[in-house]
This record gives sequence, C-alpha cells and structure tokens, in this order.
Amino acid sequence: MNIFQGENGTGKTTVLEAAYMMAHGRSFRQSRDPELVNWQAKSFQLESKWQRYGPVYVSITGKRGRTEVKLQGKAVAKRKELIETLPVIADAPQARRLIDGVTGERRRWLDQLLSVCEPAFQTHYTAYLRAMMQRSRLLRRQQDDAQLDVWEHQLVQHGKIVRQLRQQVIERLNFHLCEESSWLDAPLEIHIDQAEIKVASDSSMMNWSDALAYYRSKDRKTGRCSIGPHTDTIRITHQGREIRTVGSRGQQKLASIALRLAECATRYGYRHLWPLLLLDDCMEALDDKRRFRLLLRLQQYPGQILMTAPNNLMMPEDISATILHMSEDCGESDQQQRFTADMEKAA
Amino acid sequence: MASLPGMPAPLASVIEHLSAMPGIGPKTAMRLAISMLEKNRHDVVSLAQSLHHLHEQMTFCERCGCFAEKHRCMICDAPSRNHALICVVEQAVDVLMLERMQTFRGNYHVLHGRLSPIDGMGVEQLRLKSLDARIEAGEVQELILATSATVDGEATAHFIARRYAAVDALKVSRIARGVPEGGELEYLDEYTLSRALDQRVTWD
Ligand SMILES: [Zn+2]
Repeated sequence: MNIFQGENGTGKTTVLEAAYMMAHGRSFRQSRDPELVNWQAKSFQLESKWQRYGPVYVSITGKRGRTEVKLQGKAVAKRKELIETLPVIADAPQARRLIDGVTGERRRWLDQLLSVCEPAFQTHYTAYLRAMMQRSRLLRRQQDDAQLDVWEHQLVQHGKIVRQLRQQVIERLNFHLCEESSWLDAPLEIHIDQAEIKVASDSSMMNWSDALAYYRSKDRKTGRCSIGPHTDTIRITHQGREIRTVGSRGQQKLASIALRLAECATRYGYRHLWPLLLLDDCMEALDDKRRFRLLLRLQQYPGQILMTAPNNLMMPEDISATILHMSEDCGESDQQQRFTADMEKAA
Repeated sequence: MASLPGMPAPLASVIEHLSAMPGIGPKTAMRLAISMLEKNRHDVVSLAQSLHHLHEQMTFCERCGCFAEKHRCMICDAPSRNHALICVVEQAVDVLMLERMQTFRGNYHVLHGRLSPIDGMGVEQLRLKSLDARIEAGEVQELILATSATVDGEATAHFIARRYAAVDALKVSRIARGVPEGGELEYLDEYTLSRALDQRVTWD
C-alpha cells in the first residue's frame, strides 16, 4: 500500500493517472472532464517497468491527442492487449461513476470487466449489436416480416449468451461483495434487471422473440430497439434499496471501493493476477472510524495499491503503508516522472 | 506515386493500375511493374492478352451463378456430378475454394451476396429466384447451406432454410461449425465448443 500525500496541485492524481494510462492507453477521466483535454493537448512521454512474472516494459508517447503505446518495445495495435497484460483498476472522482452515475455507466463497467474475463463476451455482444442494427435498418425500410424474423432470431441467440455471461460475472461479483460486508455498514448486492415485457391485455410475460415482434411498430417509429441486454439496468443495493438513492456520501464512497475490490477479486479469479488498485481521494467524505476500517481492509489486499490522501490523514499505528509526500517541485511541471510498480505474483 | 520525378508515363500508368488492386501497395506495384519491364516481351504481351480476355470470355453460369466461360459452367454440365445435391454459397470464389478439396460431387448455387440490410442487401438482391426455379423443377433432394459463420451469414442460412421448409422431400442442412482442423480445445471459446459438441458425429 502506497499513499501519496500533498496539497492540491502537487500532482498526486497525475501519478495515479500515469499508472492507469500504462495499462489502458488512456486516462481514467471521462470524456466530459476538462482535465482530459489538458492531457490530450500536452506532449508527454511515460516509461514504466512492471514486475509481473518477469519485467514488463510499457512506454506511452502522446503528441497532440495521439498516443502511441509500446509493450515490451513493440507497438500495441489494440488497447485490449495492454488491458489484458496489466490489470489496473481505478476508483477516482473523475473516473466512471459506478454508484451515482446513470445506469449505462454500470452496464459499461460490467461489460468491460466481462470482455477482459470472458473472451467470448465481446464476440457475442458485437454480433448482437450487428443483428440489432440490421433489424433497425430493415424496420426503417418497411420490409417484410420473414426477413425481420431471421434477424430477430440472431439477436435473441447472441443476446441470450450476453445475458448469461453477465449473470455469471454478477454472481462472482456478489460472492466477493459478500466477503466485503464485514467492514461495510451493510452488505452490498448487484442486481441486473431486464425490462419487463408484458402484453397490455393480460399480465403474462412474453418470450423474447414474440416481444421483439410486438415492438416492431414502436421501434420503427423510434429507430431504436426497445428491449434486450442493451437496455438492462444494473442496481447496486444495500439492504434491498438502491445505494444511489439511500446511501450517505460516506456509504456511497465505501460502496464504490468495495465494488472495486470485488472487481479485483473477480479478475483474479479469471486471470490469476491481482490488479494494481488505484484509489484517488478515497478518504473523502469518510469519518475517522470509516477511514480506519477502510485502511485495515486495504492492508489485507494481496496486490499493490496506490492511493492519494489528504495531508491531515491520521495514520493509525496498526497500518503499515509507504507514505510519499508530494510537493510543488515534483508535481505536474515535471512531465517525465519515473514510476515503478510491482504487482503481486500469482500465488 | 505518379508524382515521382522522372517516371515515364507508361510505367507510372502500370504502377497506378497495379496499386489499385487489393493487397498491393505502391512499393509492390513498382516492383511488379519493373519486373514486367525486365521480362521478355512475349511473356508480358501474353499476360496482357489474358487480362484482355478476362472480361470478354468470363461470365457467370446462368444456372448456378459461379464463374463460367459460356452461359453454363463445367460443374453444371458434368454428367458425373450429383445434380440433386446443391451447396449454397455466398460468392463465386467460394465455389473455387470448395472445388479445391475435390471431394464434393454435387452442384452449387451462388447467392452473390448475403443478407445485410445496412449494406443494402435484402432478399431481392440475392439470387434466390433462380434457386426457387431449380427447386420447383423437383430435381433437388438436398440443400447444403454453406454461408459464412458470421451473424449475416447465419441470418442468410436461416432465411433460406425457412423459405424451403415446406418443400416436400427436400432436405436442408447447414455445414458444421466448431473445432477447426489442428485447433487445440483450450483456445476455443465456450460457444464454439458447445456448438462443436451439439454437432458431434458418431464414430463409425
Ligand atoms: Zn453452373
């Protein structure tokens, strides 16, 4: 566990961001973040050496918004290659908002986890989206039903596997979330809800294929597909109620970190590497009791953690961590920060 | 390429034509053009003649839609082949690939495409009317659907299977998908594996 302390503007977050970039080829900041534009405008050069089973060298060169990534000295064509090599997970105020963001954020998070853990997921989701696109185009052309049938059949075939794989990973996440409940205020659970398909006249459920046929006229008008895994919603609950609406800021913060820890454990389950966990500003909105519980928990994490903390953080004696104080002169002005990280080897 | 200083126009023209071909970059185009210049004149003229004849003498078989020299292809005309067995493929080049194995003794039917509404390919664009006619004539016993294993190919196969589902005494089958020859099980995804298991064959 490494803790970066320092005033705002000393580049604490930048260090985490650099580590994240090494594994993802991009910042964890979401596109709406003005800081991202800052990053993109800059020219920068990042070099890193990771210890996995052996040394892994990554370098990233950014020039006018274009980045070039090299892994072991060789250019990386697909970001996915990098993500699979170096597992890095981040929780930051500027990153994807799992708890208080819109439902699409949580679905994309889940799908991203799946595409790393289950290679088949991407294949089927891509196929599903293609079939959906073909159906929408046909609907717009007012074509005959026989053609629509076959596209809807493909849609259901691949969509079913997408849902099945999502269900599997949610079960794993929930298993690990259950293990986190000891230090949380209340246990957390992830649920996935499928849009209910009911016929207006009675309350019986329709099967998926029939429902697609039922929605054709509506979908023709809207140009969208009303039902399916792309509309499923994901809720994170706390004693049956959605934490997004009932949790205090502190509870939401802890929940967010617990989710990341469950994500790390899930990834370990598939890939046998503990991800490097980056926690930006994770002490924010927490009282001393919760901070202590969180630190105790993080200390148990088998992999490496890099986190930022405010200067006033009181480190309890039972917690052992490396604390790095950051000051102005080693901050953002220095674009060639050196940074080494070790990842816990598979046990 | 053409802007290369000192490049004579005839050479530049050949290079530009070649580099417009799929899989040939400007460097390869230049190498090919130079090598043609260095070859003896007769060989190059002979190549030019083959190219000249390509469009004049090649056409598609009006029955099955594969490449042919006349209005009927050699496969459709061969008395030794099984005309009651038709393998349905997307493109004429697929027939050439299947013919390389020299074991299939049936006939073909080329669709000249596959269903893909976003590319403007619907039922009207496929060569299905001619397939209807072949089936209506009552000579076909089995259709083997050999469209690609993509979403579009699957939808196409499914559509054709449904189109002829009600035809008496017509068997419709789909080529098997699953473990590729030389493929190790550990590198296959679950879906491919489960398909391979579903489509298992009895050891005989
Ligand atoms: Zn023919």
